[in-house]
This record gives sequence, C-alpha cells and structure tokens, in this order.
Amino acid sequence: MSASDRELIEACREGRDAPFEELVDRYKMKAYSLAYFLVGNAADALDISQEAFIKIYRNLHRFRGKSGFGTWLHRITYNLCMDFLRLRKRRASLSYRDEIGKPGEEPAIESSGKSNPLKGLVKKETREMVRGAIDRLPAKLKSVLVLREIEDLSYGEIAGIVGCSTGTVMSRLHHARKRLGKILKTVVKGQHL
Amino acid sequence: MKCTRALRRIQAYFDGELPPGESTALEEHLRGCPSCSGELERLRDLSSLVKGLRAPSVNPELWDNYSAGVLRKARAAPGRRIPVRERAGSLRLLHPRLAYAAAAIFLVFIVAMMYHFNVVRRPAAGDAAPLTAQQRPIVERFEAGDLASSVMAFAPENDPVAIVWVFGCRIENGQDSGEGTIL
Repeated sequence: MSASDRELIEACREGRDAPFEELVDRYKMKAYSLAYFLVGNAADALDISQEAFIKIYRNLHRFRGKSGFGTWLHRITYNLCMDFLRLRKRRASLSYRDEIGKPGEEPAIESSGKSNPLKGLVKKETREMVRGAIDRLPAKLKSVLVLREIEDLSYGEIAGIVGCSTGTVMSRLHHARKRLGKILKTVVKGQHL
Repeated sequence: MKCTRALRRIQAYFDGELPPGESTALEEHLRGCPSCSGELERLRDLSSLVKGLRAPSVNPELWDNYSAGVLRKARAAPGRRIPVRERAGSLRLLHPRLAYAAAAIFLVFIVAMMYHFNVVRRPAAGDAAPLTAQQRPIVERFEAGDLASSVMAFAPENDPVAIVWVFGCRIENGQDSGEGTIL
C-alpha cells in the first residue's frame, strides 16, 4: 500500500529525500501540465514545474496541511507562472512553442451536440487551434479556465490558488469562456460556440 | 424561473457548483426554454474542446531524471531545507536582544579583568603630584546612584588617550545629580 501525501511529507521533514522523490513522481505531471497551459511552451513549463518542487522542498516545514499537497503545488506553480508571464511581458518577447519530444497522445475530442458536424474525432490542427486560442486569453482568464477545465478543480479550490473570491472565479470563468468562444467561432466552423 | 435568472445560473450548474434545490428549478426551466438550453449546449461544446487538450508528452529520459534533478538543484542552491528536528534544536537563543546582552556581559568581564591585572591605570596613594591639564585623567570620580549605572575606563600607561564607557546614568558636568556624576 502506498503512503499518503501526509505520511510522505512527514518523512521528508525528518530529512529523508526518498519520500520527496516519491511526491515529485506523483505530482510532476500535474505541475508540468498546469505550467504548460499557462506559459504556452513545454521547455519553460518543465523548468517552472521543477522550480515549484524546489520551492516546496525548501518550505516543507511551512506546510500546515490545511489544503492538500496538490492544491499547495498548484498555488506555487500558478504563482511562478504568473511571475514568468509578467517577466516575459516586460521583455516583450513573443510566445513560442517548443515541443519537447513527440507530441502527446491526446484523446479524441468529442462534442456532445447532436447536430454537431464535428462529432467524433477532431483533427490535431483543431486542438492546436484551441490551444492557441487559450494562449491568446489574458493570464487571469486563462488561469481560471485551465484550472477548471483541464485540472478539473472546484471554484473554491481555484479561488484558493488564484487568491480571489469564488464570485471572482465565476466571473473570470464566464468571461474566459465567452472570449474563447468568440475566438474559436472563426476557427472551428460549424461548432455551436 | 425567468431566462435572465436562469442564464446567471447556467455556468454554475454546468460546473456542478449549483445547490441541488436551484438545480432542479433550473432544469425545469431548461426543458421548456430552447434559448437557455442552447446556452448550456454551447458551454458543453466549448468545454469538450478544452477538456480534450493535453500537454505534450515529455521525453521519458527527461522524466526519469526529473526528481533527481529537483533534489540536486534544491541542494545546490542556497537556502537548503533544514529538517524540522534539527531546526528545533538549533540556537533560537540567538535572538538579537539576547546577543546584545551577552556582548555587554562579555565586555564588562573583559574590563574587570583589565582592572584586576592592572592593565588600567588606577590612581595610587602616592600619586598625589598635581597633573597638568593635558595629563589629567578623564575620569576622576564616579558615583553611581543606582545599581543599573556603571562606568568603565581604559587609560594605558604613558598614553594621553583614555576610553571611557558610561552606561545607564545621567551626566551633569560638575553637578552631582544623585545618580551619577562625572567630573
């Protein structure tokens, strides 16, 4: 039986590194995925996710356990991504996409609409377009959308990570979906967006 | 339920965040309102497009070395984590105030030793010859009116320079304040 996150954290606090490695293995994909959708490229996402774990390693003694380890990791990753985006904006460098390794095995995207012409498989190009459209959203809107739709977190959890009220989360999510729908309308023809 | 009210609740309903009572009322409205049910459909379509996205997979070699890399960087950079047990036993006594107090006690001890081994010039009984203004010691007399006051002086032999430390007393030149006077 595998140890719980709490047990692993306790073991880490005693100065052991193996339990920390287990925590990293458990959550690395989550941190990387969130960072990827927030910053828009895999190389930076990998760096940011590693930085998040380094921060956690150094601050394990501060973890009170009020929220889960995953939520804590999300919060740190989110903050690092926001710092990164602010810095990138300041440097006025353009977002680029640098895929590491081969593209992910992404599941087919199915649409629920009965009259939907895109029912069934949606081509890889469409997914790239959706990804690009998300990238065009302002950081505040993009982050709540990603946390809700991709990370599947509740309004309360998102509010805790982003540092705002659940009402603000709802409002941002509404605007994010509206803007994304507008952008995609021109891209995904026939979709009821 | 009116459409304006229903539209405000559709997103929370779709995300599973609407309380059960309100959900039932909304579902009832949606059954008879094509416009609002169309809005729900729009949310579903958009969500299905976004939910299907995955971050590109990472080269397995990179993943294999990932956690080792995290640990290596965490150890290499400054601010290494100190295990809680180790930290609990560490010198929390090094609070600045305590450090200052310890330094003051040490200083008093050093000066006392200097007096004890006659490093500091003390006025001898036979040393009654009047001193010139330049030779006159800076500290001639000191009376501490309270226990908290103290004075320390260092005047090496054959050296016109003297160092005087005065702690916790009111200085009134030539006037006995009752607490301490330096002449």
